[in-house]
This record gives sequence, C-alpha cells and structure tokens, in this order.
Amino acid sequence: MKQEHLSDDELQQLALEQEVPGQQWEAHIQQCAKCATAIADYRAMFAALSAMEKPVFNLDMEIQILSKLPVVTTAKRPASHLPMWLGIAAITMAGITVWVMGNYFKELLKGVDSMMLCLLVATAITITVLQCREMLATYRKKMELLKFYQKTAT
Amino acid sequence: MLPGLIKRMHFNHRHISEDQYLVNQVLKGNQQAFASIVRQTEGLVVQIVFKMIPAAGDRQDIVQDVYLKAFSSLAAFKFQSKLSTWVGKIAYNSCLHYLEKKKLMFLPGADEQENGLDQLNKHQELFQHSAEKALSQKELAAILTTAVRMLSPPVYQTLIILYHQEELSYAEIGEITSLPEGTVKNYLFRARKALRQQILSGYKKEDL
Repeated sequence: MKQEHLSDDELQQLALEQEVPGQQWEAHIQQCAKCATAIADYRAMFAALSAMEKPVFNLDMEIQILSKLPVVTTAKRPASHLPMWLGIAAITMAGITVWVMGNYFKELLKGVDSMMLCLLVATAITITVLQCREMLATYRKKMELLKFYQKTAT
Repeated sequence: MLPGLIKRMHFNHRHISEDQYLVNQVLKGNQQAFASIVRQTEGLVVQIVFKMIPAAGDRQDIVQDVYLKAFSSLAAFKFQSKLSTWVGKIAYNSCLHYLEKKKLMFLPGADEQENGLDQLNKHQELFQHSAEKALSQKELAAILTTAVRMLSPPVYQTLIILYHQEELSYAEIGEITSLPEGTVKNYLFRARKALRQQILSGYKKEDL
C-alpha cells in the first residue's frame, strides 16, 4: 500500500478518470478517508460544473447574424468562350507541329519497337490528362474563392 | 483508454467531412449552411464572450462581429482543426481585441469581485447550516457559478468552462487560446485546486 497521500494532480486525474488507479493507489484510497473524500469532492465538483447553467441571449442570435451577412449577388455573367478558343488554338498548334516536324519524328522513332511506342504514347497521354485534370481542379477552386470574395465585397 | 479521454479525442473524419460540406455550401452562397454553422457553434462562442466580456451590453455586438469575421474569412479555413474550434479561436481573439481596445484587463471588475465574495460567503454560511446533509448537484452548481467567477487570473475561468462545460480537449482549448497544451493542463489543474479550496474553505477546513 502507498503510505503517503496522493498528490492533488493524482487526485484530479483519478476523479476525471484519466488515470487508472494502480493496485497500490487503490489500496491506499480504500484505507485513506482523506484521499477518498478528496476524489469524491472533485467528482462532485466536476459533475456540478457540467450541470452549471449555460449563458444565453434573450434574442435569437441566428436571425440577428444572418440579417447582418453581406448580400450575395446572384447575377450571372455571360458564359466566356475563352476556354473553347484556347482549346482550338492548342489543337491547331499541335497539328502544325506534327505536320512541320513529321519527318523528324519519323526519323526519331525509326527502329523503335511498336510495343514500346504504344507504351510511350499511352504514358504521355496519361500524364497529360492527369496534369490537365489537376490544373482544372485548381482553376475551379481558385475561381470559387474569387467569386466568394467578389460576393462578400459587394 | 478511458471513456472521458476517448470522448474528448473524438475528432474523426465525420467532423471533417461535415465541416467541409458546410464550408463548401457557404462558399457557394448558401446562407442556410452558415445558419447551421451558427447553430453548431453558438454555445461555445456565447460561453467565451460571457466569460471574457464584463459589459453585458457589448456582448451581443461581439458575437455578431465574431460571425461576420468567420463568414468573411471562411474561404481561408484550412480544415486543420474542427470548424467549431476555429470559430472559438476567432471569438477568443475578438474578445482579447475588444479588451485591448477598451484598455480593460481580462479581470472581473472590483464591484463584481466584491459581489462575488459576498455571494460566496452567503453560500458558505448556507453550507455550514447544512453541512451534515449532502449537497444537491443544483446547489453545488449555484455555488460553483460564483466560485468560478472569483477565479484569478481570469483565463482560468475560460479554461474551466471550455473543459468542463463545453467538453473540449486540452488540444482544442490550446488551439482556441493559443496556449501550449501543457500550459492548458497546468492552468486547469491550478484552477480546479483553487475552486475546491474556495468551496471548502468556509466549512470543511480539515479536508484541505
């Protein structure tokens, strides 16, 4: 059995059930009325603290707060054709490049196994698609933030 | 692990996805989603404001200010903590800013302290009359309300309320108050000890 009394920290931890009492402690608590009372006091105090009345406002804060929020404007802008034109420009550029540099590409890939070529093309396309997806997601997220700030600013 | 601790460590994916959904809805312009955030966090914000702001007339304005700040900076919320903790932090900082602006200390007024002492003495007299019979939880809660108001430094009051009434974890309280977790634990330990001593001093001196 533990001879000396439990420290206040230990008493609090036991009352909060954050500590499992060891055998020595348990034996001491059973024998020592002072420590047992202190734990009981702390437990009663914590239960009463949880039961304390919580402060409230007389009026409905939710309505008050919502009425103060900035008005969100919902006017839609005409759809932009920029992404479409950018896509067309990109495809045209890629087409011109292949048309002009076609011979060089043929020379470059001469002797490469067809399986290897397929693998190269598939890898290149996969990486491009994933990159585009990532860019699009970032773009959408940034536009959403921008729109939110525009709405709150008006 | 023990149940009390598990309850406080209950910060899981459900919270994150719920918070994410609400924040995304607000960013899309859904005001009802913000109303839902207000409903979820109002209790915590009101507790912090009532504990830190002595002037009853200013509390309502501060709560409104807290939510306007939260609304305008919601896009910057990074989901590194619970949304309620983040709103609580805004509330705590807004109160500190208010006290700084008004050049007030985070302390109860002298009158309030005197009233508190009177009330505490009355309660302790009451205790002495009914020392033999066990106190009901309601009676003890009434006494504690006064005793908590007497705690000094006043940050102890806020910590006690956040831990025991709002059931926040040490980490969450640290997040709200910008105090290290160890300091929160230490302050709470001292605050509980002081509370017990205050309550017992009037009628059970031998137990101290």
